[in-house]
Amino acid sequence: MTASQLVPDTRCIHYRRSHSLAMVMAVIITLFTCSLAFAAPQGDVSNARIRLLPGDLPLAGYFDLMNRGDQTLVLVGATSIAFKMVHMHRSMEHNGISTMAPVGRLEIKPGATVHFAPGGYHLMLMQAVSPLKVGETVPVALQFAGGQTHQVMFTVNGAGTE
Amino acid sequence: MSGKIRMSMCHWRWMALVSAFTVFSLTACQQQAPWALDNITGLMPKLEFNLTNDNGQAVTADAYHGKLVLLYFGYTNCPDVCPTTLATLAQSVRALGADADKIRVLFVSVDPARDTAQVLKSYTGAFGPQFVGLSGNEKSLDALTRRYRVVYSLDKPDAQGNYAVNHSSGVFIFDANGNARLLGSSSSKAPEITQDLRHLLASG
Repeated sequence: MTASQLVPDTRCIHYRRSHSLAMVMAVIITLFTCSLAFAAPQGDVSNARIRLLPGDLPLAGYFDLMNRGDQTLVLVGATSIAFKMVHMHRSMEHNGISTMAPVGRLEIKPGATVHFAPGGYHLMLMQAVSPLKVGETVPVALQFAGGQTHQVMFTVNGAGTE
Repeated sequence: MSGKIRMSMCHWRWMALVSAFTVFSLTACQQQAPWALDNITGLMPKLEFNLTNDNGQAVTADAYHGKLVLLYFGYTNCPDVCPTTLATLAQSVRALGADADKIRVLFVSVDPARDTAQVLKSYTGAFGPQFVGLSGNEKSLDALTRRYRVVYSLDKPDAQGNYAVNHSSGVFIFDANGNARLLGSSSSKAPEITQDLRHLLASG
């Protein structure tokens, strides 16, 4: 903290005013570019929630993800500091049988919305690092192709919720 | 000429009367078939099983005589469909108010290796006091699943030893005498289940 404050101070002393202005501009531009590079890849996430179950059973994470950009988004997975493992899954019903399969990647076209919802796509969150409580929020980082991530806060809901 | 006109007037009156009667009959028919879920009365055998409940005690269907029984197969390591279905059933049962106690939801785990009585007890307890967890050995589970013509299978475990279980999405509903009456599924909606449970309760 103190070190990072000291650096620009000393620079201000040694450089002329025009130089320091240029430096500030450069920093601003760099920060702006960085924020663009690390920002959510044009995705709006809403309705993010986790359904809590007793014990340490795997939990489902649900959300809606809208691609508001002009390029296809490719969701490739998720991680969370609150869980040791997170998988992307899809439930399906075929001839009266419920099955579940892993999903490696999911493409969302520009303008399209994908729903992670009961009975379909869901995150399977396994081995909670510490017990969760209804009402708290938990960070989950959605991972996109190209290495971009988007951190979203998921609300923990009770077992009897959708 | 005037006789012909009178005849056709008469004809029209008859037509109107017949149409009105048809509409009335069709409406009456609809009222006589109140079920939102599939009616399986007489198509499936009575409720019968030999399983272990979530207190670790051996139970048969007799233990639930006098209650409307909702029978659903699943496993607790199922993060999505099973809790979604149980949440829907919980919502349907809660909507019955004081009559909720006349219902028992039997959640039969087809994954006895992971679903001990203790796991089942805390799991079903999260959905309501009407929920009971049941399981058993392969032989007793197979006897029950065959009886209701449903299948289940275990997927191959992944590197961490986790595995998914494929199971029936059916929710079998039995009346207080253990007769199979209705068949819903994981995708049935709570209001339609509640409506059918009310009809079943009313019809005794």
